Amino acid sequence: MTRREGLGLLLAAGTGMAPAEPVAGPAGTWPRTLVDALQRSVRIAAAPQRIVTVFPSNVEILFALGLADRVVAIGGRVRHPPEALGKPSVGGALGYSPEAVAAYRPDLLVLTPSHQTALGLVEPFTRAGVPVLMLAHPDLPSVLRNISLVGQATGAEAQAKRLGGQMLQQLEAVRARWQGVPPRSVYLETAAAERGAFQTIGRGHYADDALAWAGGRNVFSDLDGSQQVSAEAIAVRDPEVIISLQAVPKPAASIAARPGWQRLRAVREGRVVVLERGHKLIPGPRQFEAVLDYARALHPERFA
Amino acid sequence: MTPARWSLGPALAVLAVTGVLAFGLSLSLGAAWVSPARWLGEPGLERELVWVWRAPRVAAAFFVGACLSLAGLLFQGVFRNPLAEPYLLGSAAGAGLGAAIALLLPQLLPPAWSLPVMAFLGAWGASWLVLAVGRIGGAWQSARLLLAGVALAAILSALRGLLLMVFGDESTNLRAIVSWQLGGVQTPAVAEVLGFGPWLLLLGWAAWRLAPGLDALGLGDAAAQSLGHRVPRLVAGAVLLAALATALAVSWGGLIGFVGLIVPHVLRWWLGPLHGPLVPACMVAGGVLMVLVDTVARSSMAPSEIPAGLLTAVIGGPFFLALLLWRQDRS
Repeated sequence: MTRREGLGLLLAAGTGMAPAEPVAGPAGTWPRTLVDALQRSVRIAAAPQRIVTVFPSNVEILFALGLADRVVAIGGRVRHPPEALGKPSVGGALGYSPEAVAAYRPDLLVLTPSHQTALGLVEPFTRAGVPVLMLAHPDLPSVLRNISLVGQATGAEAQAKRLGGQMLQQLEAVRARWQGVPPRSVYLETAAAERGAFQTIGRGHYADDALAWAGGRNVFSDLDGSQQVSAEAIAVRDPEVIISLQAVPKPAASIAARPGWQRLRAVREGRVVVLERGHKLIPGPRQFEAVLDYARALHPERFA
Repeated sequence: MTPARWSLGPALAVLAVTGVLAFGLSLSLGAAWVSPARWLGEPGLERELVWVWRAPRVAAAFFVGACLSLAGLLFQGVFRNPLAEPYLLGSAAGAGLGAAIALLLPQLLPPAWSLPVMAFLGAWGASWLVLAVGRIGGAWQSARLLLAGVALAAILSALRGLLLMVFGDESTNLRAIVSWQLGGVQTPAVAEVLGFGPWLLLLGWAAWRLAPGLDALGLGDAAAQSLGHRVPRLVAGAVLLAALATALAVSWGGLIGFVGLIVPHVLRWWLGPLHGPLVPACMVAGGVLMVLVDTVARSSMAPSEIPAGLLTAVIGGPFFLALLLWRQDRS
């Protein structure tokens, strides 16, 4: 079963946002015990009122669930949504201080195990009896599961179900636009130096899923997670489309100007698209927008 | 007693043969194997793959290796310290900091120039600082220069680390920058490859001109002075030349350690201490070594790449240790 089929099944079940993990006790009651992304059992005594969360993806999920009032502090790297920017910060690029977090007397921490300094929060707060919910996002379905899990952890199941259902609808709507034409092979460049260090993603990365939903076939889907590839490897796989994610998008001509690249099929046929990196590498509710942008790049004739 | 030393002619002949083999191997290996018969033969897809995609990078690898080992040779000559190399003495750290600024803040300079120019300014600036500290009090002291270099390297590396942490989030090129800093040979355009030749010749010629002075310096500052060499000028010239070589290497290859340390040492054991023959031999040997390392980086896990700087340390380190032990046994 492919991941996309799995995602479809999740939808088809009607309970698209059904608990991904077992919930102890009848729905709507507290305390409840959840199993998080690290297979840790997390017991939450009552609906959390003072939530601290780091990483843009987690903040976006909580805000999209309408829990802005219950979030007392966030990690310093967050740039979205605008109303989150007013929240106090517990650290960011240089690390997260357990003391700063503790000062907000949180009753729930929502983290992602992708940054050593964030992992440093898990032990102290678990020992102190504050529930720590870890979210992971190896693929698009897990982003939806995260929404569901946060919904259960906060008592916002209804909103989570609505948000998840809405995301799936939007994803299906994008897919409907290109369906009927074959997927196009694509190289997604997540970062690069001027003349090398080309970074891309393979299976086990939500962006690989996002490309599939957008009508793309990742030429490096045989690789795992985030990877660096050589220019000649890109030349050998000769994708139909090149999508380059950049902080400050440069013209597509800058890609065509790389030594040798003018020979690539995507460059010759004018299928090089530079997109603002922005939220595309944030595995949160806005992944739908990323899929839409990818689909526009992959099948422009269907989005004319 | 060390074994009989080779003279430059036969040594260069051996290096040339090794070099031809290394280039052949490097052109054949990559994301896909293309046999020499194919890339030398009829025009076609595979031939194009080798000559358009692979060859410029092989040339860049040679250039990077030649520059690194030349810089190492010059630093070791000036500081009369076997540990001296661009990475210990701040010039690589300066180049790395400059390059990190260029990559993290791309709006600062026109993109085509930002990386090499900032790397050069960093290496140059760091070397000047080290020289300035060494000059304080009037008298030149190699030991003080060396210590100043080590301290500056630590400061600059820390600044680079801080920059990466502060600016490194989803909206920047962090992964590409980290990878590049671990060493990765970039792919130049054909016109740029043609530019490497004159640079290499110029660097080699300038270093070769300094060779007698560096030989005299090996006997001590006073001896060099009495032999008619103007020591401060000699040291400044050699350090700035090494900084230039380091900056060129860093801007095309990222931060690649060990090459500048290993190659001059091995060649000194092989050819003796005179800088005249060492300059060309080091440049060729360093270039060939880097071509081989980059071949492994490109092809061993294709289509993924391994940062070349990790390979030089992982392969070069044990090799160097083994050589040290072997020489200990013989003496």
